[in-house]
Amino acid sequence: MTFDLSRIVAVSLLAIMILFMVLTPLMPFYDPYGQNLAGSLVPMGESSFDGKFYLLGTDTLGRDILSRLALAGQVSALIGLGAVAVSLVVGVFLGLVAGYFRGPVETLIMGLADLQLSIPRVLLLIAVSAIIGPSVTNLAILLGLTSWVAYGRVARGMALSLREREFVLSARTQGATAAWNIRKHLLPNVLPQMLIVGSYEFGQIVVMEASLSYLGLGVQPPLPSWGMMVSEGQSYLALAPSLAILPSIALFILVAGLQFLSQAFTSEGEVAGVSERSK
Amino acid sequence: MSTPMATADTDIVLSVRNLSIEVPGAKGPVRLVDDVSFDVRQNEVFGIVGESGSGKSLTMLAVLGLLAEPLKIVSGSIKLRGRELTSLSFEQMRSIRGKTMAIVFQDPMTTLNPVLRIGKQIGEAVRLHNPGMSSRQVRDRVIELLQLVGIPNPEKRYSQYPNEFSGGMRQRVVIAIAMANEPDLLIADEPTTALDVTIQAQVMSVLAEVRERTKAAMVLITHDLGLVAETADRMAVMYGGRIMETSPAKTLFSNPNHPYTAGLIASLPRVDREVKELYSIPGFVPDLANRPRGCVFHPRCAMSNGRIPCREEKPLLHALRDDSAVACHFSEETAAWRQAQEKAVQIVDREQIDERDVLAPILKVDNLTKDFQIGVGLLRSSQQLKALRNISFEIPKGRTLGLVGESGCGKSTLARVLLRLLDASGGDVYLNGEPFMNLRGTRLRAKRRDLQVVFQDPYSSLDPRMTIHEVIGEPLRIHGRYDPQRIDELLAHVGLTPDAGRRRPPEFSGGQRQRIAIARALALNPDVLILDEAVSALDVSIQAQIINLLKKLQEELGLTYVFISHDLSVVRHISDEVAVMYLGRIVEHGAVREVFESPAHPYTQALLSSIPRPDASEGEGRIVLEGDLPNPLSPPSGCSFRTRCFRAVEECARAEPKLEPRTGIDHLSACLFPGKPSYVLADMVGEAAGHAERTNV
Repeated sequence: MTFDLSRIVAVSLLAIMILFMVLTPLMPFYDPYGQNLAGSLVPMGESSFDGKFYLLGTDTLGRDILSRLALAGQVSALIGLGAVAVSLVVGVFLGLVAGYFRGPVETLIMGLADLQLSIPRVLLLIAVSAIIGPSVTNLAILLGLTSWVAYGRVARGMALSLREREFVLSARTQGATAAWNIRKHLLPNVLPQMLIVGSYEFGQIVVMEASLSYLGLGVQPPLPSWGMMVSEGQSYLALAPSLAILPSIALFILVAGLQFLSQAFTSEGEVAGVSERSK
Repeated sequence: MSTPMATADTDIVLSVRNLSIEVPGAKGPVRLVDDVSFDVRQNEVFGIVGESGSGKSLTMLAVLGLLAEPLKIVSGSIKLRGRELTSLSFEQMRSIRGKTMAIVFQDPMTTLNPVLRIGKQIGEAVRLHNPGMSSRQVRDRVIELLQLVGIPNPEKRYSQYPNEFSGGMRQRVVIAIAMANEPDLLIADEPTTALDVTIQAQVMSVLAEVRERTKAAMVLITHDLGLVAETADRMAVMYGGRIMETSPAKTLFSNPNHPYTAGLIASLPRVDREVKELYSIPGFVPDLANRPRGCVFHPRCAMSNGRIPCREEKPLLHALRDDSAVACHFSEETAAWRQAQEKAVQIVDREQIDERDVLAPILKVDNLTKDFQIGVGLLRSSQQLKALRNISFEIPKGRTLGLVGESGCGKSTLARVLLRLLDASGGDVYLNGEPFMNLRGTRLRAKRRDLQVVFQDPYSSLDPRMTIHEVIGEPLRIHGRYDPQRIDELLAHVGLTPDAGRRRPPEFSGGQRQRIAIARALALNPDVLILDEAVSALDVSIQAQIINLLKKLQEELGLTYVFISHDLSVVRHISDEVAVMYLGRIVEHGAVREVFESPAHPYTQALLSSIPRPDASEGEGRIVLEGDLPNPLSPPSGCSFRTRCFRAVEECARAEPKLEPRTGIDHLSACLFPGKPSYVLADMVGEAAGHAERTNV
């Protein structure tokens, strides 16, 4: 039972990414911003004219791709974590409130969720980030605020069944307030499921951030981002394909790792759920 | 239904020999069924009784070849009509299942596929083993089967979906599926546990009729000693994966051979008498991973007293006189233990303890009603479901009111309205003389302390993410009176040690969880405790422990109980007064003795006569109510019970009879023809009694 393929894959992929993001900045060659006009578009594993060695080559401005990939990874992870945190808090709160109180509160909140889903997210993000201007913080908050619906829906569904569970009813008969029940009984019981949703959404957000950056509405230069790196490399696809391919691979590894992690969480949650109910 | 005495080999339908089933555990394999042997003969009903974890269902799953990994048969043989089953391949088993043997599962709500028409589902069973049949023939056979199990309008019912059938009707369909190929052996696994008593009586009589027609042998698996004693010819009692004894079912109650069986019988509350305290088998159902050495029952046995053979040596099943066998080293002592136990029983005479009546009522319910609006939507007009209709009663301090009725009668709705979990549509409730229904906000939350609840399901009533200490401490924290000492005190009240507080609910068994739920309900020193089916989910031996605990707490703390249950024997044992509910109304209300010994309302009479009685003397009248509960959205005019009543006359349709004293000052009933059991009254009412279907058991 301890052998679980998706968990092993998840842990190894994420470990590779984290080690890469953490260790690269400690290396002596680390310099994501330094331009070297004598060494632009150096291919992978070669040295520039002035004799500097680049493991993954350089971009059009002669910047070290290895360093930029690592820094871009940190940026993506940061935005992802921030957005997940924002959407989890908002989604769980609204979902639990809707599911516990029902009635007009529920209608309002779920109506808001439907409204949110009916507006294309990319379009909304483009419009808003064009207005308030792109920055890492703005991106995290924006991405977070537009992806709470997944948490809200799941949390509401669980709250609907939890509010009828006898431990919640008996707390009510003891004089517990709604806030007490939501905090003490509903929240702890939905949190594990919310982390599953979170690990899945994390991957989605990283991709979304990459798309925005690719469109130039995400992270602003000189700060790198994988999406932006793909976008920059696109024009040189024939000349230096690694420029676009390398960030894509990094993006793939991180997102795949997160998806497998969410898979592993899900199966674990199922097992725990079954054993709890089996009499 | 007489037992064929001849035991020629050709007579034996199923023969199980030395069957053992194991499952791998953390510390080596765990033996769940241990060395089980029995025969089922032609034409007989063989009962297997046991509590949860006794291995009774596993044994029959093994017979059906349905054991799933990691469960494994490690030894033994299973022969069906002389053919060895344990060595058959899955394909070969498939040709036997459904044809030579078939099963009826417990819950008809989950056994049927909700998206398939009833006719298709039964037809599937017919077609599987008769691939050559034309669809016309299959259809005819299905209609025939529907008639066989007594489903009215089979042509119309054929194309309906399961959700258009009531629970009892669904179980009839399940029986029809099982009987589709006229199997030699029918296995019924708790076939009536999910059903109400009056429906249980219907289903059992359908099973008997069907068997009569096809001459099938039946294995009846159940936890209900009364049911097995009444229906079975022979029976086996299982405990901890072993057979404790086998005997003719008729002598089970009069002459149990094993101390476990004797203990179970002593711990059953009875409808025909009230005792001060039930006997309860001490301890818990054993954890089979740490199976006790020697006799598996010895740690809980009242006779063993730690004697060496009990601790060291596994008793084997040895034959006694008259078709019985027992697995106990000292089975000859059981009769003496029983006698001593019987002598120790104190019969309660309630007439002597009536002086408390003068006290003012602690809970007064006045004309309480609750309506639900059903189907509020854009397209459908809403309908009103009257869940509670003019409920009124009073309970003096320190007394217990038993509320009985079948599912759908509104007893749980009443609990929820009383607890203010649902809002009442009308009427008042006075708690300690103060109105309770119009309180709001902080004043309501403060007043709630006086009225607490214990629910049915011990698995859903404790938050799995809290420790027991937190669970019991919660009501104290809500009111800002947290005190760790009080929690230990409460644990001691319900018979648990303080170190239980550090553990979490999943580590506890059902009975222990129910103790914890009781401790939590007591934390705020309530005056009234609502017990909503609080012992219904527990095994017999554990149920007696909890009932005794409740009675002890009532005496010590002066608690008042509203005891809601469908189990009449338990209600009789614990209550001072009983109210019987039908379709949202109280139809009879009186002192427990009056109601049980001279029931006035025909519904109460039918309920009482539906209880399986092991010691039922031949020729005693049983009232089997026809049909199901009427649709509460369109209740019958006049008396709502008249559609199922064996005494109904035209007059009953005109007006709803009031609940008023009819057969005694304190004995209220809502019937125009109250009193006297039906078989006495039958001559007087004449044709009206023709509705009644009396069977002699």
